[in-house]
Parts: sequence; structure tokens; C-alpha cells
Amino acid sequence: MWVQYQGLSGAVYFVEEEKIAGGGEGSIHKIQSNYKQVAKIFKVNNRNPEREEKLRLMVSYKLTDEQYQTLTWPQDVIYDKNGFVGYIMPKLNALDSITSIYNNGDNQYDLRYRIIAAINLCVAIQTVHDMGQVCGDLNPQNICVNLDSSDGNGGFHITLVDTDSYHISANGKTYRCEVGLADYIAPELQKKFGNGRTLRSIPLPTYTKETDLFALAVHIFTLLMNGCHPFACAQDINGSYQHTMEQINKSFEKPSVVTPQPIDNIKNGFFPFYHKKDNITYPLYSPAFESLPYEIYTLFVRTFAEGYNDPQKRAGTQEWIDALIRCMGTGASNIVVCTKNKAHCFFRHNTYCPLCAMEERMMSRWSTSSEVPPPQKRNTAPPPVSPQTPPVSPQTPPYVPPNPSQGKSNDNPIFAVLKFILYMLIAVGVSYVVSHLCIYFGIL
Amino acid sequence: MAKQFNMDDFIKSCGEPHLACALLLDVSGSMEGNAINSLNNSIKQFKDNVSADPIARNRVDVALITFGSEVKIISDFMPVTEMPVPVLRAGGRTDMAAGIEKAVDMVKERTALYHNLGTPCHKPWIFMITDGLSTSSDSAMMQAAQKIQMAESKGSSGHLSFWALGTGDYDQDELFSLTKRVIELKNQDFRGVFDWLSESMAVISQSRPGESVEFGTLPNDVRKAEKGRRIDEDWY
Repeated sequence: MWVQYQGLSGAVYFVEEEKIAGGGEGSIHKIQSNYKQVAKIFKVNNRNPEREEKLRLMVSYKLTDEQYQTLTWPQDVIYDKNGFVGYIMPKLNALDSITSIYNNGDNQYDLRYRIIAAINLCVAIQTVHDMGQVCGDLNPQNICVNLDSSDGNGGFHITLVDTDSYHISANGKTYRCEVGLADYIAPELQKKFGNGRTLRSIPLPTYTKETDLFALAVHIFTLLMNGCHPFACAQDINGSYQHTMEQINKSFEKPSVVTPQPIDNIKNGFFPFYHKKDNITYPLYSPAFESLPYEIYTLFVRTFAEGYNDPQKRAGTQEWIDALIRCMGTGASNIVVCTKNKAHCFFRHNTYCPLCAMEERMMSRWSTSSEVPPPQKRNTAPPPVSPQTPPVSPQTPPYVPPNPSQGKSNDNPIFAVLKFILYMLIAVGVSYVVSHLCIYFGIL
Repeated sequence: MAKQFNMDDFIKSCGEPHLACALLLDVSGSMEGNAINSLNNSIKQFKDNVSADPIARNRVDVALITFGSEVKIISDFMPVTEMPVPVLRAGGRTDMAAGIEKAVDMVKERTALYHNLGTPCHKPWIFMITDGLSTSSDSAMMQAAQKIQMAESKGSSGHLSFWALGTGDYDQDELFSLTKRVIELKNQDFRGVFDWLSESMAVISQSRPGESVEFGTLPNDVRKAEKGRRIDEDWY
């Protein structure tokens, strides 16, 4: 069965009644003899004038064919005899969530593909920013990737979906993006939540270009760092699993020692790969931060550490694109394949494979546990390290990360007091000597 | 030949926020018949429902523990997609206290694993199902209750959500002495409540900021227990 709808543009669409996909707000349908577009039909209670107005505004932006492949942006608003029902958008070729690049046991998509996906994500977000608009909700389910490298484009093209929820402004009016996933929301916005305040109710500005850049950097980091969220952290108590078990036992009685969650760290501006804190380390399933090229490393520091107090410091889309292309090198010449494990690819400046180092670090932690057997990963070369042998330590990274002031041990107030006393003693001592010398020389 | 272990057997997608859910099931003699059959079917349905959710399937880890005359770990925490679908048999006494002790310890251990790996996690759940009076000693029950309350009350949001579902001749006061999250099932058909549980797992594992998690409404045959109100009294 086909249903006829009238487009704002004047076009007539015959839409199949049966849906291809459904969601909370509406459903997606095929259009007769049209292989390039699909229709989204809203449920009756979601067909409101505000939404229609937003979509009318969105379709007034005309994109190139290539851009429509990057964004499933509304192309026409459609009506039946009772009024507004939905909109027409380009048909999606990329179907997998961006997480499928790294949530994959066999680690099939190596660093080169991850960098390509990261660059394409930058391009997609840049397309929205160039229109003067803001994405808002950049949760991984709204970012699709084409994993099929035989599609003529070489694969790993990114398409942003659910764009009708984006944060759209024009003529002094803002149509808010009202959804989001906490782990991808910038701290300045994160801090406004609580006490029942939501993206719907907190005063504008909510989402901005800078909050988009925060989410973008989270995705790039996760792609480059084996699926690890930049604000995830692990408990580090003498490196032993047994010891942590004791700490957890205590923590059930005493709330203080539980490892903070990414959302806490985002809110508090604690970037565990860069800032230091007692008993906290970066996750075991992540390579070391220093395994990234210095240029990329600094863009993350700017975005996550400096950007906490000054969101303007966050790296822009073009900066990321330039840096990522440079760190890949012509013909991916800066990416080398591990000699021990062909599935491992890493940046050339590393003298030891960061993924092998990561596996050794994880093995050494697991093997100290009596409760859980050490997992044996398929297709991986390094044998489990016995508890007695320290893990093979990776070569010293080529640069030492600057030691930020936050959380440095001598920031402890006791150190400050001791320092003060020491300075006073020196000052008193010096003035004593000086005054005696002065008396001696008869100056006073 | 023994199968070689893979990281995925223990934990999937380390980088995504995980939710541990221990199902603590009464398999004492009184569960025999329809109740245990329905429970067996419902566990499979729970697994299928959560596994069908593209996001929750990578994030929800499930352990199965039973208590009758003794406590049995049917399966330790593992990705929901890997969990076994057991055929449980009913029989014996109801050593609830030992079951609770074991479940809380296992949840602690799983939490330790997440914190060690650096895997983000939500507050873990223990979902206990019982249809009778505990045969554990009073002091053992008191100790178990303390263990739950210790874990539930500490920290900003606590480290545990303990749920108790009572059915049949369960003892309401006993469950309320363990937790405030007591719900009761009118019949012995667990399908509805496991649908609700799988939906809750999916909702929590993808919850959004600033908005409290909205659980689906309880099915018709389940309601929040209130002290002093028996199952058949003013049910709907």
C-alpha cells in the first residue's frame, strides 16, 4: 500500500505504508521509484507546529549530493490533507554505528581505518558548522560508518543521522536539541544538569559549536585509543588485583575510594591520561597516551584539559583534519605494523608496539589475581607473564608529558606550610646575617 | 577439547559503561512445578530480549545464582549474550542468607574488575526471586540484611540496587528487612516481570544525563509491595 503526500517543494511522494525502521518519534518508509530518498513519518502526537517550523528552516539549506551523503539532512517537508506529517531525507548507505569499528573482538579495523573514520567525522561535523548550525547530540548511535570498503568510496565514510534533533538556530529563535548521552557532553553543559534540570529546561545556551568539538574529540580519542573513553580511569593500587579487591571491600563500607566514572571526571575536569591522582591510572585496555603523535596529543590536552575552563581552546574541525592527515603520512607511511602481531598498527615514533605493551600491562595485572583466570586472547603473540616476572616495559616515550599543576603531590597544603616555614627560616637567617654584617661594616 | 578462553568470554566492549545484574533465584522445594518451569522459560526470554538490544547487549553482564539447600553459582558474571540458559530444578530448603552473601560478594568482585580495567559502570543490580520463608538462621539473615544495607546506603548513590520479588507464600516482613525495593507477583508466571527486568536493564545501560531513569510500568500481575498489604487484598 502506498500513501500519497504533498511536499513543500511541490513534489508528490508515494510512500510505502510499511516501515523500514521505527523509533520513539516516528518511522522510516520507502518512497515509490525513488532509490535515493526515504520518508520519516512522525507519530500523530509528535506532529507539532514547532517541529514543522524547524524542518522548514532546515530544508531551506540546500546541500550538494556529496554533503547529503554525509548528513541525512531534511530535503522536503511533507503533508497529507490534515497537515504536517514528516519529511524527506537522503537514503542512508552507512548502517553501522561508529562503535562497531572498535567494539570488535578481533580488532579487524586497524589504526589506518580508524584515522580515516576520524577525519571523515571531522568533515561531517564541519559541514554542519559551516552552515552556522550546531549538532548537539553526537552520541555514537547517531554516527554511522560504512564498513564496506568495496562500495567504490573505499569505505569508512561517516554519515550523521537523526539530524532533525539537531540544535538549529535562525532569526533569533533556537530549536533546541533536547537529547544527548552524558559521556559525550562537555563539562560546561554537564554542570548545568541536576535538580530536575534537563536539556529541555535549562536556559540557553545549551549546545554550542564548542560542545560539538568536545564530543568530536571524545570520538577521535576513542577511535585512536582502542575504544577507550578519554575520561575513563582505573584503580591503581600497587598494581595488584587482590589489593583492589580489598579496597573494593572497604569501599562498600566507606564511599571514598571508588574509581570515578567518566561523567564525574568530565564534570571535574579530570583527564586521567594527563592529570595525575593517587591510586588512579588510565584503563588497562588502552595504549599509553604518549603513543599518539605529539601534535595529536596536544590537541587532546587543549580540548580536554585547557578546554575545561576555556572551551574556546578546544581544537577545531580543520585543525583535527590537518593533524590527522599529517600523522597518517603520505600513503600511511607513518603507520607501522607490529612485527609480533600483524593486527597491531601504531604510529612510527613508538619504539615498542603500544598495543603489545598494553596487553602485557593487562596480563601482568590479571595474573596476580587468584580469583579470575587470565584471559587468553586469540591471535595474540605475548604469552601470559608470570607473577614473578615484571611486565616487559615499553621504551621510554619520546617526550615526557608536561606535568600539570593539578593534583601534583607537592600541592598538598602540608607541603605548602613546610615550604613556607623553610622560606621563613631562610629569610630570618639571611636577614640576621645581613643585619650583623651591616652592623659590622657600620652601615646602620 | 577444552575451549580456549577469549577476552569476550569475560567482558565485552571494555570501553563502554557496563551494568552487572545478578539473578538470585530461589529453587527450594516450594518452587516445584509451574513456578520453576516459568522461571526457566523467563530466563531464556530475558537473555533474548537484552541480547536483541544493540547497545545493551555489549553492556549488560549477568550472573545466575540459585539457593535451595545450598547455594550454586550457575554462571559467574559474563556478557548477557554468553550467559547459559539453565534448566533449573526445584527441591530442598531455602538458604536465602547464604545466597545473598554469595551474590553480594560476586557483585563486589565484578565491581573490582570494572574498576581495575577502567571500565565505566552503572550501579549493579541483584534481583532476588523467592516464594517462601528463609530457612537460614535469624543471625545469618540479619548479617545478610546488614551486608545489603551497607552496600546500598553508602556513597552518593550507593553501590548496589537490591530488588526482592516475592511470590506465593513469601514473607513480606522478611523481604522488607532486606531492602525497600520489594515487589510482589500475584501468580507464578514470571514472563511479565522478566520483560520488565530486561527493559529496565536496557534503559539503565543507556540512561541520559539530568533525567532520572524512567522504568517501564510494572506488568499487571506485579506491584510494588507495601507493608501490611497482602497480595490478594485490593490488588488492582
